[in-house]
Amino acid sequence: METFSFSGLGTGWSVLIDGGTLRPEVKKSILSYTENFEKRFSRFLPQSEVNAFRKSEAGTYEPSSDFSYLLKVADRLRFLTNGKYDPAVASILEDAGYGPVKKLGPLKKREGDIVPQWSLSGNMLSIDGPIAFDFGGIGKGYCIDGVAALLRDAGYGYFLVEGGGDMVATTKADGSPFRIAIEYPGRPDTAASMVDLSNQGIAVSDIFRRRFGKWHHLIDVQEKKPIQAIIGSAAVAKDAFFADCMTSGLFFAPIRNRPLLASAFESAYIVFRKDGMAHASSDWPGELL
Amino acid sequence: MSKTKTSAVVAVSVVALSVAVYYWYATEILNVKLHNEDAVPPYAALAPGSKQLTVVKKYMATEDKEDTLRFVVTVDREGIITDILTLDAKTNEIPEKKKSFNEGLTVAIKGKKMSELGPVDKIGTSTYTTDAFNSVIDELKAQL
Repeated sequence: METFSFSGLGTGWSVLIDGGTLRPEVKKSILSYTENFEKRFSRFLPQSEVNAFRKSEAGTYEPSSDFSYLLKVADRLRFLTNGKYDPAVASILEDAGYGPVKKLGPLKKREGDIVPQWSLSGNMLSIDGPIAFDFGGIGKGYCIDGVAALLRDAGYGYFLVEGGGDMVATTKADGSPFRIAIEYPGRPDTAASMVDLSNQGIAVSDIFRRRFGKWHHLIDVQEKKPIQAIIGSAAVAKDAFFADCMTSGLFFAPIRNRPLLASAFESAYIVFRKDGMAHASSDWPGELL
Repeated sequence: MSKTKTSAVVAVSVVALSVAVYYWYATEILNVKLHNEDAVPPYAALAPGSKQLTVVKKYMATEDKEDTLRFVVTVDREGIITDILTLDAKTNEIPEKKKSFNEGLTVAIKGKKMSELGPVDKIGTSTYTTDAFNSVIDELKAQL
């Protein structure tokens, strides 16, 4: 099995090809795609689309189709988490010191609102003034699926694409699944579950990665502080994007919203609680260890 | 009888007849409405300022079987979701499949050392209602 490793979106990536080798022009396309995705959607890059509205007046704008699709799914997550997940969290992250404030200058504050307000109607984005978005928690999964689409278009039928621990996989060339170990949150030497992945995506998220000072990256915008009760989550879905959305949503959604979240993102899931217990959906496809 | 008195009697008769007819048919209409799938049954006492949004949606549970679900979302005065129910629209009960899904498993996962696992390629299903629920989110939001 050939492995192609590279860096992108601030993390390590690997592409496993079963029953073939990755042609140089396909490697080049993959690198170009991920670099371009980062340029378009990184909050740390001044020219990115997520920073395009930092100085905008209140009004209605037409973002790119990828941007509006990400916003549409983010809006669904916002609804199902009672507004606790919000991609407009960028201003809070920047206030906490996690962002490109020095390069771009702080976002203008509004009286009364915790985060800037936005809404989507069709593909049109309405904002109440300057705003920046952060697709952390959903964007990487979308990019992983984009790489998988490139591989399919190039004629590859058996592969696994992994970006920073999240992945999407077909079957292996002999029809068997890829065998995946789910890392226990905060314990890199320990597996919490084993999953056989076959034409599915998987995502794992925890509060121990992407820390800045005392904060981690999963911020409750209503409380304006990091999530505390949950230390990690894992999800298996039809693709990496939905699995990524699910793991993020699980941190924010009230417990009784979880079945609807699972329904909306076609996911099975595990939530790792701070007290050492874990809650797994009854359709979790893997072995719990 | 004067012309004025005759008119008054006719008017009173028309009103009385209208009330009788309305009462008769309204009762019929309300009975039908109460058994209609679009009616909102009383799920629980609502907190002041809260309201319930409901959307009924038909979907293909399998290739040849159509089911109807009722999504009931309770929101507080600020539009924040405080409760969500997914019910069988005909029985107004939680479908068996969803009951088991809602329960899940709460377990203590001890974990296993990665070095003790068998072959691993990398270290790192759903309900039938996905499309049905996704398609009603905008309708629920429109009721806010």
